[in-house]
Amino acid sequence: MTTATTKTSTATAVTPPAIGYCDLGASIRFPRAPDEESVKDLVRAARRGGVSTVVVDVSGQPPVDNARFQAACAALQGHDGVRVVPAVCPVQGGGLADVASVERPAAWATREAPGSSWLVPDEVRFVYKLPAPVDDAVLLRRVAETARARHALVVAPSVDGALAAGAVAVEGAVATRLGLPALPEAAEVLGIGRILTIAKLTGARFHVAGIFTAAGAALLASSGNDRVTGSVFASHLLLDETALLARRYDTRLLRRPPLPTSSSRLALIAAVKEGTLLVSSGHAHVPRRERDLEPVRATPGGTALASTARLLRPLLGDDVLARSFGVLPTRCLGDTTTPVRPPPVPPGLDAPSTDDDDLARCLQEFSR
Amino acid sequence: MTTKGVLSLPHLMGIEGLTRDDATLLLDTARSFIEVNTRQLKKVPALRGRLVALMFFENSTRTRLSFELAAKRLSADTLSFSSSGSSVSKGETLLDTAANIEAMKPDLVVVRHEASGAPWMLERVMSGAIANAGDGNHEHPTQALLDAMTLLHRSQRQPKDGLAGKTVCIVGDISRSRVARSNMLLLPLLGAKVRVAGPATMLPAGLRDVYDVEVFDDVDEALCSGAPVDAVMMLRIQKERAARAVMGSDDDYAVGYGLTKDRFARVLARNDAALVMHPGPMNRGVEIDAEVADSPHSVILEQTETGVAVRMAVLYLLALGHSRGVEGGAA
Repeated sequence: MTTATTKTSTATAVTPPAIGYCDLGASIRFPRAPDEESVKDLVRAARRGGVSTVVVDVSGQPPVDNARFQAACAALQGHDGVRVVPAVCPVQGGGLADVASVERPAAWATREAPGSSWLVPDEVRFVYKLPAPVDDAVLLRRVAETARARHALVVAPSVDGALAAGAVAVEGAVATRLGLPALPEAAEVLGIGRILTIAKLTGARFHVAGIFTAAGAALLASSGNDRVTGSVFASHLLLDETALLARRYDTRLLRRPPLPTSSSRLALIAAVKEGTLLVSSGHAHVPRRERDLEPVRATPGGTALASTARLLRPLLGDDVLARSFGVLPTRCLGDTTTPVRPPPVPPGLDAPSTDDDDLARCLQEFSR
Repeated sequence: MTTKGVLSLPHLMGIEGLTRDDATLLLDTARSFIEVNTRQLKKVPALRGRLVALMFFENSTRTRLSFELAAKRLSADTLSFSSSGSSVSKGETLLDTAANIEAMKPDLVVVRHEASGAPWMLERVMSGAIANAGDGNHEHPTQALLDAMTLLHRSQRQPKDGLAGKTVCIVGDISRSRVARSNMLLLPLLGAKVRVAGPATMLPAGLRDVYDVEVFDDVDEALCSGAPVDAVMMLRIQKERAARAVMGSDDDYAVGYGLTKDRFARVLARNDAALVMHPGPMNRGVEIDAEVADSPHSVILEQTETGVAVRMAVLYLLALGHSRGVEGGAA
């Protein structure tokens, strides 16, 4: 990414170039197995999908403050045209991680590493990402207080972890018919309610990722707390739980959280159009060995980053897409100055971008 | 639509999807095999030269033995594969395992797996006809067929007459029972009225939306209100479920939902011909009192006996459909 600079008598003003879509919901695994996605793959997918900012969780799997984590952060930088924001995991086991030690490499990677060409504004210096729900309110409070003190945005799953454990469907007729482990929609109301309460208590910034129920979206919209935002994964706007009946036990349709009910899906689309919900990819590369398992054991997948905008465009239109997948997520990261001009995306579903673009392939099959 | 003597579906994945004609054909065929099983020479050459793969990824005794005996009585060759736990624990996916068995070219595949939907996965890589011998919490179609066959036999009815006018009450952990799911589909298909009863923690959401059943969380109301019950089908309570707090203690369950001697006496007071059924294995003293399980009203062993004939019918009809598909190029 190149920047234009203008010398004035008092300071150097930096005019950042316009950026494209901004994704708060991608995942990548560190350390990765040979058949897992690399940062290079992720960046390539982002570029293909017009995404120029990606938040990536790097500290979920390796222990904090070690050479691998620092190397992972360093690897996220230096990709011309794509800003990769390393997200820090503030919890380890059942307690608070040594946050300072994971923040150091993250801060270095986003601000100082060779090739990193953008600055995290003061308002959001770090992104903390919770890879799993934190049901323990004491721990969540400590995460939030730490985040507030360090100017971090906490990206958290929307559900109550205990109610959601093992679920691949929403409780109701579809899950009962297919004999699938399911969670009640109330799991999200509980999860978001906990986050809103802790956010109010601490004043921390939260982003609730993967909202999948009408009740969850409504609760967030009615909270009146502009320091808490929420997003829905692309797959949950494009498909609902009836897809599980249409393609029985197809592991490509497994999602975490599970696909919404029909009525929730419509409410989520409406919330995105109203501007109360953002959109994110939910991008998660799943190696074949984890997809070819028994349906309830297979690893849930996501929407490929390369396809997110292309798949959503017919549903949302250019303006809504640009706002929900560009402007608002960029602002969530505290960047209020960079102009957002998402690039045009090619229409149609005829060509999945990558071999593991499961959702695009499923939609292609549904449209036949 | 069932064409004469052939099922309308290439596989028996579940009761869902079966037509009434399919069910009648399966039960009619099973009746003829019941007769075979009473002969001194209990073997017919119907599947000579055919290979039946018995793939049991979950512990099973009676279903596995029943299918194995069924295949042998039809003169088929059998290939047995047993493995408990996940295939991935051995570093191999379910599809890898299936592809290896497929290389041995079985004509019929019987699969039992602890994960719902496993037979659908196998269908992607196996060319033989598949019989679901129980998948997770989803379905156990042959158990439902043998339950229906037992009820028909005891009622001295022909399969074509169905079970109209009969009321069956299924009691237990409906949420986690594949036996209940298959019976909630088959018994109404045959014309029976079905009631289900269990603690609220064991009744799945959306039950009434999916099945044509009456739902009770009070077992006494389910057993002793409305039309007299013709059969009580008790489900096995898996004690490990207690750890997840879906029930209190065994004693709690026995008092609240078990088929005790007193509770069954109240059923008999309304219908002295009421039957007691159980898919086995039983937890005596938990979901069913020993005296009830061993009473003259119990048809539990008859269910096991009928199971062999039902599974012979399933294998025979699937093989017949498979052959026609192969000959017609549609396998």
